[in-house]
Amino acid sequence: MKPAAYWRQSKTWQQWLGRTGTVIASTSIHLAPPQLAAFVPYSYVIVDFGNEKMEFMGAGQDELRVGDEVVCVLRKLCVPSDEALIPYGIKVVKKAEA
Amino acid sequence: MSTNLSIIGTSITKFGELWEKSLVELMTEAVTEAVRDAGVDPEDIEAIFVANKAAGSFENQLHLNALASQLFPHFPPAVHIEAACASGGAALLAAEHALLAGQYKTVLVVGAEKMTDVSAEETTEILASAADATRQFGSTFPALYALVADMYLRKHALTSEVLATIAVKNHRHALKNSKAQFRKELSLEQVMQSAIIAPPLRVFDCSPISDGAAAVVLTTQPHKAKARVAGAGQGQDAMVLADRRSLTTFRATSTAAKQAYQRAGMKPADIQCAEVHDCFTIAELLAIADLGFFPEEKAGRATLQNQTTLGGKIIINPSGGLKACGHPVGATGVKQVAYLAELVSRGEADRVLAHNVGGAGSTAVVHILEKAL
Repeated sequence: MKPAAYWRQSKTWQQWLGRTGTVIASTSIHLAPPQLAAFVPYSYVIVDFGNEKMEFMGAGQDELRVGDEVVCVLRKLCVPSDEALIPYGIKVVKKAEA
Repeated sequence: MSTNLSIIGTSITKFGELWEKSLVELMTEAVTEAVRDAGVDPEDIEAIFVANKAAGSFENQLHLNALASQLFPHFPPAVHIEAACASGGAALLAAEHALLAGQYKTVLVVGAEKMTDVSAEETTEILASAADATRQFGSTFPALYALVADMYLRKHALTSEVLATIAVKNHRHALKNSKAQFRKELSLEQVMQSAIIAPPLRVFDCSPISDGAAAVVLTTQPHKAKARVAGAGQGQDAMVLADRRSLTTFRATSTAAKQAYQRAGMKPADIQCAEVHDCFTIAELLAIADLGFFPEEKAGRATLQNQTTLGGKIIINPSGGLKACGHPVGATGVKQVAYLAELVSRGEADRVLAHNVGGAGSTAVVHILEKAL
């Protein structure tokens, strides 16, 4: 991720951090682009936050299922490469584990 | 449509892993054959519309309009249209609009994609550019369709057997298509036991990574025609699935279909066969309802009861679809229309429909063709 793009996406963190919602659709990704390959398999879900819905990666390799209560956390977004930047962003984890 | 829009020439290259052929060679083959098939002088082609999704990423090659134009001695004006996997449909629409406006009388549409020079992981990354890069970070194309499949199967109490049935059927159809990437029958068990990509989707639920090109010559002039463009339409929807009103139906498809039926003066029951955008098996299930062939709650049962193949209510994806014929993304929308025009010209059907989707349903283009007057 390029530094300027990273800075732009970081401005949305405060909108999501700590918010809780319910998984309404779920899959897990077993084939991913090279910079995400180290996370495979990771969950990719649609979360209903009550007043809006959003898509997020699940943090770690914990399988998220429909009905799970999740919370938005800050986690590494990509595996650091030879770029100096280690990008972080919003992912979701099960509420009990947050 | 009031003005007579005719398809007078078509061509489809072999689809597959064509390591011996470059993007330019594929385009050249499709263009040369379509012009020859149309029986027009190359200098009669007044403009070219090029469909391609990602040659800039796959091949570091852009400026495809100039690449296509220089295939002709008179260098006709050319444009490059990109609408993800609906680039072909969108390029056809742009060509039709230019013809209907009276700007040109005869034009060529060529769609091409060269995808197999990079790894599957790199292809996954390039195709993910059809999603919203910031708001769908970490998604892949199969994952977005997997979310749709997850919701669809739960809503209609179906199992992944219905998805496997589509893969088996489309592979069977492709046995008769000499241009198809896969001409090999699959069993339900093979599909249902294949490697997981993004559950519930397995590798045999996914269309392949393909090289290929297709072209059509369209005219408003009196000329021996293979088929007539009776109607067309385009619909759009939110890119982020979470922003959609429904995930078990694609609004872009129903919007495009409504326009196309209206312009053609037809209804879904008039269509005898359709090429629908089965980039993943679940996409065919949504398409046959969104295009009006079956009610949403009956699409699964109709598929399981062989209502979408020869002997059923309607033949869906006679070419094998994207699933078995292959999916060189920029070529697909043009190939669907070229394939159907050839079918109509051989007298195998009179009224047919092509359905081309971009992204996970955020763009859709529908064409209806009928027997030439």
